[in-house]
Amino acid sequence: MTATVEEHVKLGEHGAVLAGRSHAIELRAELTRRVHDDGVVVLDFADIEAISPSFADEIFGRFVDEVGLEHVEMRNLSQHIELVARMVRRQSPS
Amino acid sequence: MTPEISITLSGGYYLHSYKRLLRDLEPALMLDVPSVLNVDMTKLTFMGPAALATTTATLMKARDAGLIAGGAIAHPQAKGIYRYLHRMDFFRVLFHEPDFPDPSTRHGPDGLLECQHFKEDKDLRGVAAAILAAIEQKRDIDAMARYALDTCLSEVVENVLFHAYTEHGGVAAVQAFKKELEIAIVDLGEGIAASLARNPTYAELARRDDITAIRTAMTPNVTSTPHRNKGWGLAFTELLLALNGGKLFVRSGQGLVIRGPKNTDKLDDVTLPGTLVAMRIRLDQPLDYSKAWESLGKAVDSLSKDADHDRDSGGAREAR
Repeated sequence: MTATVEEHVKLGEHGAVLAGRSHAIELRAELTRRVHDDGVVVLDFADIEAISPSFADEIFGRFVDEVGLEHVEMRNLSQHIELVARMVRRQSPS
Repeated sequence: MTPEISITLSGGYYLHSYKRLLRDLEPALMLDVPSVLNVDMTKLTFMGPAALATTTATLMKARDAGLIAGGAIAHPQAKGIYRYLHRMDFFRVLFHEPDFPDPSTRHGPDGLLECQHFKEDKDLRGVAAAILAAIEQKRDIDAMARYALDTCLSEVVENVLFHAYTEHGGVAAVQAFKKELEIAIVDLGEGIAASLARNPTYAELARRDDITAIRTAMTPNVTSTPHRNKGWGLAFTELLLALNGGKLFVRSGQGLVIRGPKNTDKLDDVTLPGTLVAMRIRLDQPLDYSKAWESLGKAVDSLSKDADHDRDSGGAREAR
């Protein structure tokens, strides 16, 4: 049996408000590098109070599309950030 | 012989009299050969954020493009506006070593914010943070309003960086009035119509007229760069201000679109070669970040259903 590699990322280290597409693109690239074939990236939204449309698109949309939902786990989403995540996923091609 | 042009800025320039500013600034806005530029501000009495940002952007662009071959600025006689322009770094932004003595005192926070010039991605968060800090020095805003302002400021500034296609960047300015905040972000890039026309899906609508171009660009899911953006930033800002009872002004080319308690769509006989996004935010009403997202979600879902129908019939739907 293969152990799942879990990479834990505390998004709160980027500030309480996640905004700015360029910043999000850099974060997406870093997150993508941390995804292994049998691994999961755990995105920890503790301390995140708000997210901008462009940041949400990069993380909930493009990043998840790129690596596959099976490689991403999201924790500690506030009610409205969960709403944003669902909305972006509904609009995503995969 | 070097041509000489003169512009006169007089009286008060408010958001509702922005058209007069464009007319008065026109010789400088349309400058395309090196010229001696004389700016007479002796009878100037007031400049709101939109006027201040636009005038600064116009003179900076002319200076950076090497189009100012000498000239002079006659400063305002009224002490209040003279001090205010100094405090807003108007002269310092235009001249590295201004000849005018600086009468302002800079002994600490006073809720006024110098014009914010931004050109690169790395400037984005700094502009939003500076504007928020200035607002918080002057007015009490709750956490939800802070998140909302941070979000829409980032989105609107980002629009300039991604869609204006100008090496000169943009300028942001803010002022807190008694009951309202006014924030203005202006660029002298290619304008909304030309930018939107880069996306073949919207090229026909974008070229129809500036009002149609602006209205289309404000619709969720519409962007000139679908490979890079979702087209939600301006729509989010509009929904946020609608919930607040505030107003969103978008002016580009000859088009002016105002969304608020009373909507306005009109073509003017003066042109802004670029884009102005200005927000009037009510301070006595909440800025509900969560509800704005809910509204955007509903709008996007509704448009997606419409798009499914349109896909069969062909063509892009015209904005409301």
